[in-house]
Amino acid sequence: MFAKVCSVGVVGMDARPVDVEIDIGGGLPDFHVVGLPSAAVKEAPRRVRAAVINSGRKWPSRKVTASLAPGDLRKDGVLFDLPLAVGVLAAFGEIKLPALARYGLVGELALDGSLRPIRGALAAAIAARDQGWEGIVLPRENLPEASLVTGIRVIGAAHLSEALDFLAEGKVPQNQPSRVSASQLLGSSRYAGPDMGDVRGQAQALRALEIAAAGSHNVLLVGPPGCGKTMMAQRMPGILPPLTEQDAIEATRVWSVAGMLSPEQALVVDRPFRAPHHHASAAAIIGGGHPLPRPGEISLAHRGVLFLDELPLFSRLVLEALRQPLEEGTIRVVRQATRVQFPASFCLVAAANPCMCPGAGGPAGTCLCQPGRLDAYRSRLSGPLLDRIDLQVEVPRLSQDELFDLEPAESSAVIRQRVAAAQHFRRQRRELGPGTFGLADLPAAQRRFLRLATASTDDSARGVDRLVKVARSIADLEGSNEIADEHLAEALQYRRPVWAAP
Amino acid sequence: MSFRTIGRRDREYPALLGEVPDPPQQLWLSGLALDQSPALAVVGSRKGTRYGLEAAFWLAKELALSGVTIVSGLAKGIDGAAHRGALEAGGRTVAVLGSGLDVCYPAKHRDLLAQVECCGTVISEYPPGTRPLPHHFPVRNRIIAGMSMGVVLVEAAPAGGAMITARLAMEFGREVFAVPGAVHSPVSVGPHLLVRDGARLAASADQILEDLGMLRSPDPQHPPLSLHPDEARVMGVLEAEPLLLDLIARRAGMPVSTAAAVLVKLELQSLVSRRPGGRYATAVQPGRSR
Repeated sequence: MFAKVCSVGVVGMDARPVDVEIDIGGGLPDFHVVGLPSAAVKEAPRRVRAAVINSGRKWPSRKVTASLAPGDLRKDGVLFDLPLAVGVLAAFGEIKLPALARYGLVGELALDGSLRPIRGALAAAIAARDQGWEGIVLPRENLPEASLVTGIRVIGAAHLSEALDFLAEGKVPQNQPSRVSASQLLGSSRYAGPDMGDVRGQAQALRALEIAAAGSHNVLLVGPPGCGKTMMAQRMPGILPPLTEQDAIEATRVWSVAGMLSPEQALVVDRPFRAPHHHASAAAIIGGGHPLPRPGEISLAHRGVLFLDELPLFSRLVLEALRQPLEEGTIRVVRQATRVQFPASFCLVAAANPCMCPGAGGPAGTCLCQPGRLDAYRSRLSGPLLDRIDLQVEVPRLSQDELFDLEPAESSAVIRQRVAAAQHFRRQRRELGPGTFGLADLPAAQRRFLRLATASTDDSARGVDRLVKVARSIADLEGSNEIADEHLAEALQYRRPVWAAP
Repeated sequence: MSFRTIGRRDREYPALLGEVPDPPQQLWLSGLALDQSPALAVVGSRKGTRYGLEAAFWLAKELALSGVTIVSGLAKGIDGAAHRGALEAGGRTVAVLGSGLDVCYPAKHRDLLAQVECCGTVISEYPPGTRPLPHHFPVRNRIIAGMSMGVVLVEAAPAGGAMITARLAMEFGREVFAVPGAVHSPVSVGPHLLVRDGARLAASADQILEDLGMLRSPDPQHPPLSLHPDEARVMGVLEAEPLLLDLIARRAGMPVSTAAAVLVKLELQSLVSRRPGGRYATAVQPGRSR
């Protein structure tokens, strides 16, 4: 007695088709799963058997063998419970399921037969569509995110028996929520995060954040404790233009695979803001885990803001691993035989104290650090990493007078408008000219100015190239097609060794 | 690197050094030959403030421009700034080490050591291979003080090594100059103590040269500065006390982005100096402020 059920397994960002094959044969009663199952999959038989019996169905007292094919693909997660249960019942001949061949099945079973939500439902629905299946049956809680995928029928079941009813008679479970598209969800959401208008003073840092938002640059804020670095970083998502539909779905896919979506949240509608602590493990920040890698914090920040407070205190491993995503917007994670690629295109906002002692950086502050300790602290950030941080600004601790004299900053909405205009200008410019902009595209006069200005610094080629890119973003904010000396001069302001020895 | 040794009888041996109570019998040398031109030591703390580093650099540069050889100890902080100032002026400088000539201490100053070797002289009384042991430095300081007409102390804590150099210079009957600083700065306590003990106050290279009786002829007039209107407005707002960018922009009546760009241009012309904490002040103006 044999049955085959279509399902998918989540590997990295993708769901790959997995055939769940069930054979019921002679021998002592047993239920065994083969096909590189992880510990969670090996436990599935106990859940599945209890769920089937508690749903009022009969369990065969025979030897049941389940094979998850392809056999050399590692399987992890609890989403094979539903296909296993349905497959056993189909192979046993307990129930006729005419729709079985056309639908994919995923879901975790509770012992009473109800379905629990799974990780990666969005990726599963996309894979089902790409396989040309008519539809996919998955847990009711996963329905909102899976409904974002167009071109495939998505059935949400709250219980094993609902899934069986649908597959046997085509009876759609009751109370299926109506389908809401990504654009509707995005259109109806308003950003409710903190507002940049709460900040006082700090014009230079705010300007740097605005340029970073306009040109997707990374920022390092250097300042003493309590000067407002974290406060400004938290308000960074608010000055970025709202997510586009495609970006929102990309971000949702990562969150879905990581199991971070809440049941009420079908779509990541706001720019993500992630602020991992510096003691978090490299796997948690970069991505990794056993047996199959999961996205880390840098991927959860995809299309949003990654805030690394106390940057020098992060482990060297993490800091050096950041170099690839900063350059390419993705991270490759290799674990044993599995290689996966996670998206990690984020705006990095990093913060650092100028030194280890408490009083430094204030109006009258004098650093009391031992020279050796200070060097050791600062050398934790490597040159190649600092090279990739385009904007580096000092955030002063304001004196009481300054604090009360300075006006509050502009509201996030005003800044966001300027940023959106600059990005729009940039896209239009790209349609006319080359996509990237580098030193070679600079007019001769500006190149002369740049040579003069960088003569005393030891900027690397990458450093100079980044400088030109920042100048380009500043020109974009002004709506200027040409880069002027002023733009280069301002870019220099944010690219100088605030981090070098005093 | 090629090393030579000279003894007390050599013509190259600094004449002033021969007058101290316990002169080294033999010196190891690399770089240019020592001449008997007037030398001044510019020394200070390894942990100078921004102000101190700028002052040391500027004084050394101006003194070197007047033909004075700058002697110092190649240490971090003030010593390094003094050597750099002399090198910037294209003048002579002598680094006196507390280790063998082939041992660079601090290792970070390897570049500086190479520069001093090519445009000046590096000397030590310790044979090559000697490690920089702590007790070498006070002994080394007697050479710095001994071969100089005077010692300029820029910044030092009261118990710092540079204070030893200054005290030795007093014992040897040499001139001691102290660069004033802020009263609450821990590294200006040393120079201020010396002033109370009779050291001369040194606020410019000309004052030092005047006290030594070797004042040069006054500088030719500097050409008037031609500034862009925006630059002139920012210069009008700036003070010697560091100001926040926010305030500079508001007082000059321009957007922060413009002010930031203008400040960089002014800084390239050495009219503005950037201070820690994102603040700006008018730069110390060699030759112009006096």
